[in-house]
Amino acid sequence: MVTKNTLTKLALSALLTLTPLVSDAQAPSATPPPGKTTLDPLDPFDIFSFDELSPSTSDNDKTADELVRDAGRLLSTDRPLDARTKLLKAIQKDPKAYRAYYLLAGYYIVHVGHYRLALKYIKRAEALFEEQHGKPPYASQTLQMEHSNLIYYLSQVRLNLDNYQGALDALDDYYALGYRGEWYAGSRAWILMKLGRIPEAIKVARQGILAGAEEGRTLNMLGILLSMNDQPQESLEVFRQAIANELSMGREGQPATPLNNAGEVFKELFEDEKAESTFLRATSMPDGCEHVLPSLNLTLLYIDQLKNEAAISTMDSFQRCIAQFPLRNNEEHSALVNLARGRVDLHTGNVARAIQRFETALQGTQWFGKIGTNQNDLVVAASISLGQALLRQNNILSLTPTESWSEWTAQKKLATSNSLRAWWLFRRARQILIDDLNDVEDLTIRNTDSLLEYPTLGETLAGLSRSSLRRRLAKQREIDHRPAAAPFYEAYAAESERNILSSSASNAAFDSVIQHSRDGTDGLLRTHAILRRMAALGQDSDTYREFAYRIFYTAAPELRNYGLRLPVSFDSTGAPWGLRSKIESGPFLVVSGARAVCSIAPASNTTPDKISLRFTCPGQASKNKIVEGTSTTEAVNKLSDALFREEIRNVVTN
Amino acid sequence: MTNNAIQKRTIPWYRTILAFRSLGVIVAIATLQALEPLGTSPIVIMVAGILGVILSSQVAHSRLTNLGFTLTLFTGWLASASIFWTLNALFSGITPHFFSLDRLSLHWHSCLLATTITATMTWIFWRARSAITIEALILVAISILTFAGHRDFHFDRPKIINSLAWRAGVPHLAMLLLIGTTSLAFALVYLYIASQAVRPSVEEGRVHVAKSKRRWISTVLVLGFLGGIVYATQATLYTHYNSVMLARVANGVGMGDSMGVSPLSFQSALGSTNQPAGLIRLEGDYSDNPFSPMLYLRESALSQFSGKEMVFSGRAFDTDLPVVSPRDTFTGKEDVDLGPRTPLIQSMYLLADHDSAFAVDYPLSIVQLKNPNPSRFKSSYRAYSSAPAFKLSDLSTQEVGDPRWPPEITAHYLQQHADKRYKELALEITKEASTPVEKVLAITNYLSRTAIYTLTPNHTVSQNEDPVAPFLFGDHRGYCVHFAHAITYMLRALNIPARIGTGYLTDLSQAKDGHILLRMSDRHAWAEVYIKGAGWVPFDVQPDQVESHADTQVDSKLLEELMGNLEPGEEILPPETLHGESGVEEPMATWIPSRRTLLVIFFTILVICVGIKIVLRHGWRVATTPRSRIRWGYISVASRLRDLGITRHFGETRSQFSQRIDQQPLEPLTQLALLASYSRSPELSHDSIRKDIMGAHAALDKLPRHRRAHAVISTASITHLLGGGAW
Repeated sequence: MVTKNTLTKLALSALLTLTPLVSDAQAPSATPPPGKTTLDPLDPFDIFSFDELSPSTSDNDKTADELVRDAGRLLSTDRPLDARTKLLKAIQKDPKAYRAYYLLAGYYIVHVGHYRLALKYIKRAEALFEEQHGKPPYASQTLQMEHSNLIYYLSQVRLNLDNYQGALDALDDYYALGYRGEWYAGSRAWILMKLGRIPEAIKVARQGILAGAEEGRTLNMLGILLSMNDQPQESLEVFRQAIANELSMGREGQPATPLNNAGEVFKELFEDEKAESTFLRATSMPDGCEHVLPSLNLTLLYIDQLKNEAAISTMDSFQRCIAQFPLRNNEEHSALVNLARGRVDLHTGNVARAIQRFETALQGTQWFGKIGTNQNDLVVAASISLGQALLRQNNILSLTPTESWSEWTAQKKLATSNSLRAWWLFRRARQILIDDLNDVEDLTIRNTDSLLEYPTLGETLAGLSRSSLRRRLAKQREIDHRPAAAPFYEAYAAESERNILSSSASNAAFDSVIQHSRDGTDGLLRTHAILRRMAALGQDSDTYREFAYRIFYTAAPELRNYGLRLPVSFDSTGAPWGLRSKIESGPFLVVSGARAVCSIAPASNTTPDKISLRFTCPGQASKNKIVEGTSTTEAVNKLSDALFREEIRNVVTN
Repeated sequence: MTNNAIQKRTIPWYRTILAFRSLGVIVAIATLQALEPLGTSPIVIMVAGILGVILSSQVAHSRLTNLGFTLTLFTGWLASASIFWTLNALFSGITPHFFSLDRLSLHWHSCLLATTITATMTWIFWRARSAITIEALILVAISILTFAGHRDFHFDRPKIINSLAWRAGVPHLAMLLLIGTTSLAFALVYLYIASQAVRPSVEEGRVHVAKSKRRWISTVLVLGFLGGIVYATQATLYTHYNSVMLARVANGVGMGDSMGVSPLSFQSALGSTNQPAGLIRLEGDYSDNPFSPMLYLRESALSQFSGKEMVFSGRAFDTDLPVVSPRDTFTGKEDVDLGPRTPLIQSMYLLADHDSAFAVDYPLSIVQLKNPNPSRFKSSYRAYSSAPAFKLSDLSTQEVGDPRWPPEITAHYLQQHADKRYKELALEITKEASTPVEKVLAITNYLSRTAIYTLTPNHTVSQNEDPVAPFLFGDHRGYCVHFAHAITYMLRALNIPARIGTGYLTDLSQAKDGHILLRMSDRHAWAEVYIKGAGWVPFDVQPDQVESHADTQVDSKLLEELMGNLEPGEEILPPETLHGESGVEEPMATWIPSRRTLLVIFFTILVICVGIKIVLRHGWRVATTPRSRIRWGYISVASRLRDLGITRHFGETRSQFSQRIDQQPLEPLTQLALLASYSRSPELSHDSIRKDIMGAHAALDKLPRHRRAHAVISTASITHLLGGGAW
């Protein structure tokens, strides 16, 4: 990866090869040349012919080499646009000035990310270089240095354009010509990884470390490779070294990257506590919010554990931190932030807000590719989450009594459009999963490259044919021996059975998931399995009642989200006419007092002409609520919201 | 006509209806694909949909009943599901990929769904008389849902309207009306054709097709009447809305610099839009920008108080403004007393029409640039600015106003509002401030704290009332226009020279390679104060409370596409530079035909039509055999009759037709045709045939001149031929 520092080094190396200059770089004058009124923007030889502010020296009087030297200085002092102007001016002076071309290539790689244009510049620079100095190899050390820089750029640009073989070919040329660089091993290992040649990449990275390659980057690379090669413990050891190395560099170090990578490995190993502490450490580092990934990983981990408040707090911290950098563009992370926040909203019963956030996340995909993450991952994840949110909204609507026919009609209209949209979104997600993501390659639970919500993924996978999914799951179990992953695969199989109405197989599988999933850490998976199991049970069964209260105490919003009712007793003393039927059409199941833990009763009115309801749950003081409404419907709906919607403070709204 | 297998080609409008419905399918699929990727190739889905139209039309003219059709569809789906189920059961373990069959199934069912929907709708069309009404209602419902946003001046929604409008270089209101007119015209023509078409009916196991009755004159009258209504409505709509649209879509900041007039609007600016307005390319770093990361681009300034609002004062004042069209050149004078300043060069490529050039602070010079892509950019120019490089914190102790100003100019910038409340409030807010600049900051901070930014303040203000008072002394709900006015009035009440700057406010953090995409939603008005030694400095409100605002995200794809238009030319990077490289395909640009292309297409069609007419009229002249000469001769006369509006009725024989026409010009040719058809060796000479053909035409030449003239331009014979009709 070409960084700003690398570019500066290369710019300075270009300067070393140039003759001494007569003056320092100066800013351009604001006056146009006399007599020039029409300029051709497609002809860069015409457009920068302005005078220098200094009366003694202007860009017009400088040679191409002097301008390149000026540009090099400007690049090293973080004035890229001025540098770009100088370089184009240099080309105007001397169209064969290959140094100007390759510094422009560097500018477009580092400052703009316009790789296609960078490739054009670097190819032109290479052609001019060979035109002037002949074909390699070169005897002169200066020429060797320049040529090696050209090849380095070429490989990096090709890598960014996903031409991995081309990038590797460039590195082969580099090595064959006897050039050596600290970055070589890390780059080669990365490209080999992209080509799927993991063992070879590991070998290259290891050799690089022994040969004194750029340590931080190469170690990080090696750690990733070992993790991909199913060597998590070795990978963690390498990340430890990488972290130590970055920390030893003081302010220059970037420890958040290897810390995040190590956290991902812990997460994949289902060592949740270690993963959490590693991500927390990554986010607390000075470079902890330079990228959204550590915060995102931590948030998603908390969501899996049903720690919604901690999840929101993590996102808040990230957004507060990123606000320190006004020049940072939100486009690089807004989609991910909305996805994560949307999921928290969904699991806390704020479904309408979740839908908005998922829609924003989906719309933001066009800017997402620039940070190198697979855009399809985001589209699939956001589509699935949005589909789930729409279905949850339908469930909530089905448990929301209405005041009038018009309200009822509006509710049905929304439910119909939600169902259609959810069907389409799930279908589209499945299509991308099998078409663009190679037969659901992200099925490995907690694959950190994917943004899927694994505990509830089965809901989408169930739409695939049962035989294909069974084969895919069987294959996955063959290669994934992590015990904690097994309940997830079982849950997917259960969803598939449920989809074809094979209730006994489905129930057995969900029971197994409930029994074998880990306490606390697999909170969302277990909740999902219990809710699915409840849906298959009769509402009057004791198991249903037991499950309902279990969910109500741990993840109350999910009960209503899944369209299930909470058994309650109802004290009709002093109740207005029709209250009981309204309660029953809400998310409550009225049962006899002995069978229910919680109860609903009319409360003594605090406001005249209003209906008050009191919800009490012995031993659960936080669940006790009193609401009032102008009608029985409003009172029931308010009680429903009070119990099944959690409002977690949202410090940062976007 | 009664037949078990109806010849579809003889059913009036049959093929035209198929063509119309197929076109509808294409438009619908293309629109859906534009709104959300369908996952399967839209072309394939279109073909499947068209297949549904054709197959359904075929079976609709058979003896198949409604129940039979429903069962057929159901069976089709059942068969499809069974096949995939069987294939899954038998072959799922054999295929190299786990989900090969699921993949195929998803694509297949997309097509099947398209076929089912179009087939069902087409079946209903042919079999139910009220189908056309239902279709019309569906069309209306879709239109209402799609364009519902326009009630709030969101003329650019859905987004495709915005894209089309700016690419075609027309206001999006015009584009909206164009789309509406086209849809309406399509619907009207379709409704007409559909009403003309005859429906088959199944009685006693046989299928019947009734004769059609055509009422040309009434149809033409109705169509003309409807067209007139459409035209009048659109003209009224355009006239009514266009005047307010620009200000509405531009955050209340319109364009124009006529003396005594304000381009600002106090109406609700809910129509704010992301319509691209221009592309700026900074030719150097502007690291000294005191407003970083924001960049103010001044287009005009309003310094004269009209008694009701701030207006443009003409060229006597505000001499720092270039007040030139973007297509003009300007050379100004640098004010050497202003500092610190830094030279800043900006190349502007305008995507929407602008009355005035704009630039950072005040430009010293504006020169024209060659337009790199006239189909994209309206015009382009380069502005050389002397941009502010001071720190805002350094200004706090500076004096305001320019000691070089003559009294009348100072008085001009201190014109005050008659309403004393402005002064009272200003004094109240600034009671703790000592210097003028501190007072300015106290006022902007006060509004930042208390004002609620909304694009829909919805104040009710009559023609002669102060539109700012309901904001400042009322609910504090407003947008930049209200803020800028309120600050200016209050500052002038404190004897601080102030004016309103208008133009664009953009966020440099959304720039790429020094390129900034300006949108209409970036249009802005702000208060400015003249500070000694610094010039006119913007003082803007940054409201803590935001109720509604325009979309803020820049379309990065569009920015990159536009940047591609400015890329270095072949002089720097020859086309062969990337020879042999992979993964460097340029993104496909949307093709919008130019006027020239459209003219070429139009003339090509015209030439083809004329050619067809010539062949129809005079083809008999080159026929070699008597039989072919008779056939072509008959076509010659029949096609001319069709152009004159005289057509053979459905089910009418050629003999009956020739008998029915006045003066029976076709009779000899019909007899000849019958003779040629049914006689083994008819004695026919070229001369006699020629005589009959010429005779028939001579009879038609006796018709009134206007009818003959109409026949010359009529396309009836051409459409009949292309529709596969028999002569």
